[in-house]
Amino acid sequence: MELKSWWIYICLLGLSILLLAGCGAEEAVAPTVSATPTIAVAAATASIAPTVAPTEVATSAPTATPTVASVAVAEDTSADWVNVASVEGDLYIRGNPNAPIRLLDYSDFL
Amino acid sequence: MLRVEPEILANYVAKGTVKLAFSHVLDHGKPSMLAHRAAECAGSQDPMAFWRMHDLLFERQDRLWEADPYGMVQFASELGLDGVAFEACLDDPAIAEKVQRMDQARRDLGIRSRPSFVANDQLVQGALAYATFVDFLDGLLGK
Repeated sequence: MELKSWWIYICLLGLSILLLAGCGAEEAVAPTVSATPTIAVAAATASIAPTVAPTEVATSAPTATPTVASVAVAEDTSADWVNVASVEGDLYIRGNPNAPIRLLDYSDFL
Repeated sequence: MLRVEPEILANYVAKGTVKLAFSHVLDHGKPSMLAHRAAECAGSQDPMAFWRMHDLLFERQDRLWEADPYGMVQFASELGLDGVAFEACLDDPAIAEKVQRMDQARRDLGIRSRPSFVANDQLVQGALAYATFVDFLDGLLGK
């Protein structure tokens, strides 16, 4: 009878060790999940490749870090800027003519 | 057109912190030239008409390969523009010259891939996710 109890204790102990090892393995996987944003950026870059003209050189990766000093700017909702247009030299402008950022899009319609 | 343009319009242009500008890129010969002339001719009647034609041309992008001047006049008519003045403008060599000059200017700047844009004085090339755009623009705005 005593010998049987010892075996039950040993089995329970073994089972506990296995469960703890299982939890530890799950924690070790977590850092891989945090790498997802990098994969997302790579996918976005690849999706643009077909639109690049065959005669032109595609860039390797987007660059998006401002390199100039920036100044905090207040929003101005005094007008319906989306429907305001003006002209600056050769360029047609959409939005607040005094907006601190001009986003110039180089694009073909096709 | 920037893939994320609708979000930029809603979240930055509408708030007066970003203004959009457009510069012509002629990647596909005559069909490209005709579409850019149409945008310029819409703009010559009203600057906002340039943007309405810009939006319409991108919306009907698949039809532009086979488009002729008559098709562009129909687009102008849909936008409520003066068809006679628009047609005369399409034939104006000064418009074609302006489009070609702007295309040459971007080549001279070394801009040869799409999408490309310049935010103030910074050239950015490649397709950015909207979240990346937010970081970039907010950085420039000092947010």
